[in-house]
Amino acid sequence: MTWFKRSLQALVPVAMILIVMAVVNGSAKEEPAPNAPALHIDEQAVENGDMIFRRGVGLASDFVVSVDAASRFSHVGIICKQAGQPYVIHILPDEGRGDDDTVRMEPLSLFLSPANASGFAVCRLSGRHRTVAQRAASQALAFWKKQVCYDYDLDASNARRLYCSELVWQAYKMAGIDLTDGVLQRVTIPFYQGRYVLISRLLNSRWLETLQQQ
Amino acid sequence: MKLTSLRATVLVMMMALLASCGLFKPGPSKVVKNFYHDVEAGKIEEATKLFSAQVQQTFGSKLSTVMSSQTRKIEQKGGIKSIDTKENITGDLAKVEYTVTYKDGSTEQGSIDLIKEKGDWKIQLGPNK
Repeated sequence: MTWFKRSLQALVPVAMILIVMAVVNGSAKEEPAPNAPALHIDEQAVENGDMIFRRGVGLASDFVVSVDAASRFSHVGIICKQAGQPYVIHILPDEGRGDDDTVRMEPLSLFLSPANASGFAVCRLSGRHRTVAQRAASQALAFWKKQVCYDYDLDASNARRLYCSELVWQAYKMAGIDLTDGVLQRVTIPFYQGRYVLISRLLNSRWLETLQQQ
Repeated sequence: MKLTSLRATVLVMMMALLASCGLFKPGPSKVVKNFYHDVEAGKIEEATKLFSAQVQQTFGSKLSTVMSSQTRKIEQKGGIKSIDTKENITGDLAKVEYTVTYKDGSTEQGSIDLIKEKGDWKIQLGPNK
């Protein structure tokens, strides 16, 4: 009994040291969100079918498709001009606040407002593919008119429901160009083991050239 | 009696030393299992600590939001029945292939990359390479 008691007494300081070490190691700090800089985009230069990527105000459900582009862009939409004014057709999930989770069309200025974005890039089909871009914009507009809902299962096998990068990919695929060249990527994310249209895959598509970015 | 006490102290000190060297720290497979069980139990803070510092810094609170939604999904499947793993360690990097079997009979198969940070295995995220 005495031996046991003394052993316990000897354990106390060691245990205290280990607890302190564990607390020090375990206190991971989160970086504060950076302030969004003012964004300047040449709205007159954008055309129907241009793809617009944005960074910031990431939504949780976009986390999967932006997992390898997180330091750059976390969301994407497609330009569709209405009466000469640039709009962005895109889709976002309801994050539990009763948000509109159908395809939406917003003015470009709203899409890139400081509340929504801290960086952007505009990409366009390179070469002689303007008619394809026009058709893709029309297809995106059709998604909006049909009020297609957000695809919470992130299933890219059909266009009945869409997530952000899938919307752009499907619009272009239906217009005649597969921006991913048929390669959807697997991710190493717990719970998400399917194949996805990653934002970085679109951004680095051989079909695209970057026109503006900030 | 003094000798016994000394032995106990030395034993405890040796165990503490081994612990600080990482001998008793969970390996990659155990980290993956802990992660799934933490998410199942709704211990989201514990689960997010199993991600690498870079992932935690990049995604911040998004991780908690995403993992919280998975707690509900696991519940809908009746909970986790078993997790089978196979790990491949190369230096400070590891890949764990896993199969999670849920109580409703459904399964989830995949792989997770891990990186050793300060002696602890942490989950990395990204495209499957």
